[in-house]
Amino acid sequence: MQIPDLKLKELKKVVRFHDVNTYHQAYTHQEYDRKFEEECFGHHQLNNVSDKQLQRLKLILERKRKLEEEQIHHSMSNSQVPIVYKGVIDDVIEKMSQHFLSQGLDHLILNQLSANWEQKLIQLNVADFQQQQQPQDSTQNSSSQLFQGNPYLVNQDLFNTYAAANMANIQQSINQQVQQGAGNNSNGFNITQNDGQDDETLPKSVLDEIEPPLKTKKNKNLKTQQLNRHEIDIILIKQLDGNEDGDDDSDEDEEEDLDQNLGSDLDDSDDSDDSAQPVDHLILCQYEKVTRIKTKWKCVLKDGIVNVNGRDFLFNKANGDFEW
Amino acid sequence: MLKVKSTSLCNAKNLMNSETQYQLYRRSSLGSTLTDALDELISSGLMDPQIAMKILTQFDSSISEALRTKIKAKATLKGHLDEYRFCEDVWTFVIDNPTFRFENETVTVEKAKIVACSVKAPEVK
Repeated sequence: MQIPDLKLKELKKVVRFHDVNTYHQAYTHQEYDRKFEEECFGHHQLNNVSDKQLQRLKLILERKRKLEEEQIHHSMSNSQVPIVYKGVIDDVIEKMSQHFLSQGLDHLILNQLSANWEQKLIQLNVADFQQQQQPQDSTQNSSSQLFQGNPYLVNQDLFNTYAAANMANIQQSINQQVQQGAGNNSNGFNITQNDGQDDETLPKSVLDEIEPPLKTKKNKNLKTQQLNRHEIDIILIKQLDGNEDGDDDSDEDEEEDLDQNLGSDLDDSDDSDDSAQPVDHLILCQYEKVTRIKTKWKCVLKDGIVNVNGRDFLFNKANGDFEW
Repeated sequence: MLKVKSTSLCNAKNLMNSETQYQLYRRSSLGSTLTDALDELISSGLMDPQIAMKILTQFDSSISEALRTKIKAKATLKGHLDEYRFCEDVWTFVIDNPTFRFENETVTVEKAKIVACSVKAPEVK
């Protein structure tokens, strides 16, 4: 792997930029910046940081960023999306079943459509459907609660864990989890059906016929995100078990190990994350007013569906300020 | 540099269905997954295309209704306007480096596209 030519200042800038995005609610920026710098750079003299140390730091930060993204995934403002979407699906199916009844059409097809539709939606992973549908999954619940309760604390723990834990171990468990994750989809699908208003279950053959309709791009995304969620779960479980040694400065051998493992894993997820695929960020909405004064545009938007970074948000009203 | 596209690219006429609901939201994740599911049923011969169109029409009004009544969230959006066009009552903006501020989350991306129909539904002719 190429050693990235990254100066410490640039690195910090990246980190700060990210933290502003993540922590503007939980902490004031300055406070978080300070804590973060202590956490990351406290042990090093800023001026004589070797390339190797920088590289390691960068990898850890990258990993940390991914974990934080996953944390957002659990707790943030698109939590209503699954509920609203489910409501729309039910509404469409209900209204259409009235129509089907009056026309004397086979009702079974609607059940199939509804199940099919939900499954595709879950695969898109635009919001946390799984959490809504698997409330009995205590691990996931506890993790999101922890995150909401004190994000900084947990993150520090995660960070320490990553810095010191035996990566090979984690790697192995991740692989296992990914395999389980692949099976999870069908799990959610079944539960979905039971949740629906119709108790009829689909014939097995129908389930088998349903092929993953997504482009490979989306599938990759899905995989990455699932991986991240499972990583968090694994780490949390490890922490609860007290298996990790929470010391940042462990011996060099482990650091080497960490470097290699982090590097290879990171490469994989990076490929599927950003560089290979330009994500289409789309906002579908209605406008109330669009005005322009010289180069400044102001829009008042209503009833929008926003898709950014593969996740959906909904808004009742949005103000847009653009400079042309 | 001004980049206003020609009217041929606009499809506002297709944006309204017979019940004066926008078909705009069919492009969302929820709409596209429905379309995919319907396509599968049609191609396997299980569903009549006309029924599928009816279901999509129902989706148009269900999603509009849900957005109108169930969502209270506000958002703000800032960025550099790269492209804009307006025809047949549809605004399209392409924003460079937009920052979305949702209720408890801020997201910045490289480029985003806004497609917006008028809140006031045009009169049906």
